[in-house]
Amino acid sequence: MPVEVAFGVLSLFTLAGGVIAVGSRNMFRAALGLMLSLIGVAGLFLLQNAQFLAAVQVLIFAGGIAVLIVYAVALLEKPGEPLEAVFGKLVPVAALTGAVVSGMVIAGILKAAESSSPPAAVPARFIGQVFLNHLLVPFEALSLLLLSALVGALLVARGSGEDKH
Amino acid sequence: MGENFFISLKSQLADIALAWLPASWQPMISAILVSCAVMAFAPLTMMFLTWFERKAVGRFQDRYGPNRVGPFGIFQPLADGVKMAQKEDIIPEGADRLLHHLAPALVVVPAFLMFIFVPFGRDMVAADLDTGLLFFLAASGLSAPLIISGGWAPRNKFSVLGGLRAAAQMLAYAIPMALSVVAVVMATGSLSISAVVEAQARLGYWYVLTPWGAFAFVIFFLCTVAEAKRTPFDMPEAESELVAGFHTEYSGLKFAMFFMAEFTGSYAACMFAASLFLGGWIGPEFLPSWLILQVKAMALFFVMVWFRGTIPRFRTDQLLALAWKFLFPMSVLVLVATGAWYFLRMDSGIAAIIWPFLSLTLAWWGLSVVLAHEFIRANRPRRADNAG
Repeated sequence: MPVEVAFGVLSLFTLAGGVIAVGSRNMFRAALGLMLSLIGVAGLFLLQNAQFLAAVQVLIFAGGIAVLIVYAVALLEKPGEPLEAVFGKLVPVAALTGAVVSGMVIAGILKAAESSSPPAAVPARFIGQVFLNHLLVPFEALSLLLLSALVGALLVARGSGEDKH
Repeated sequence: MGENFFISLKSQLADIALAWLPASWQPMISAILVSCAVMAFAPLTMMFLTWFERKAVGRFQDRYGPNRVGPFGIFQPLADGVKMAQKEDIIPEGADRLLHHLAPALVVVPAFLMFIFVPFGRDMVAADLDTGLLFFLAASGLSAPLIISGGWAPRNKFSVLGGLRAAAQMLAYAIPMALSVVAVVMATGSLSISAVVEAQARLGYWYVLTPWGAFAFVIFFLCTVAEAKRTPFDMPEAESELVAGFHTEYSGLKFAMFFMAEFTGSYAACMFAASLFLGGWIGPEFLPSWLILQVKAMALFFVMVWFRGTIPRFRTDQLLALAWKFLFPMSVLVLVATGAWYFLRMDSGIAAIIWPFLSLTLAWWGLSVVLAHEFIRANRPRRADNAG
């Protein structure tokens, strides 16, 4: 029973955050809604015994990416008027994407429901070993990608270098 | 008040509750009791710390500090609380009213959350997670967006600036902080905070006494001071420039909430520093383990107060330069030294202590010289005819 209550509360948080993120006209509130949704997902991970995933979800998505979004919104605003969200006009494309993604998620849930074994806790040690043995090449490729993104961002931020001393 | 006082208190309370409820609620009741303990501990500690800080800073400045309410002014925080509660709650015109209410309430959540992962004593941890260290970093990282929202909600330029400065500073210092924690993880081979404390008990020495640990501890502690936005890292709330930074437009208890987040966050960080580097609840046998951790954490908090009484404020660019140009490279070097120490200590004895220590000290001095040179160059007065 307590698990079901926790699941209900966390799902409510996740969905409410998602609705705010998509629906709010106020960009700042939308960003905070996204953060709420991400934290709710982290709680759901924790409920499924996926501790490492939950910690990383909060650390990187809620603590890192959400901060960047919130920071950018607060920085870009003109004083006195909140940044308004622009609602796109690509309704058919958005509907199609939404339908495909939710179809995939529903299919995944149905498949997982067939094998009704409860998820076992995966120790962080095991995840680390998998990353540094089996998945070493993709892991390193990802870090290379991030490094190049960093260097690229620096290059863009520096500009042409004419007006700098 | 023996070693097992709190543990037996908790089990007795749980027994009382279980007489009324089905047995399947047992984990839930346990969780609620522990959360209540943490929720009570954090504000009480905050009240004590405000008194302690004012008393200690008073001494540093050759004053008495609060001494009117109760013996030695110990009830001053209660009087302050009553005063705060009586103040008018002012919401500026044009503010985002919802966020103005929400932000001060939410900003204490990460600070309270951190207490859940710290082992208060032997077998006394609210959530003994396998990845507790990651959760600690995650909880401390959560406060940055909440502080920006606090600064953004009143729609005041000064408080937005304060919020942005606070976030930039917290992001910058989160990285060396995480890396110095990684050094501890490397030496222990576990992400669990209880495992870190037990490893120090097994080894027989605190991590701060190892060459890498000494440097990692200094980096970690400086970063926690910066994360808590305490002097000398309190530029985000500098009164002389930003009025009061992100909490300019909050009065009464809302302002007190920001204050509480700062104090509880810094005390939680002190408890973490004590657990990771100073052996946590390990200490002399005749003292209960939970008291030992509090003594160590209070000693660290005293150092924070000492900083406040001694060091002037840094400028924002100096703060960020310190994080990115000094603490970040230094923490990467500490990681290398930790690896070297880990593999060398078995067979090379004293050399495994001396070499890492020597090279880290040299690196520390080298980086300090580079950073000082940077500062001098950046602060050199510009000539008017400098056209390049």
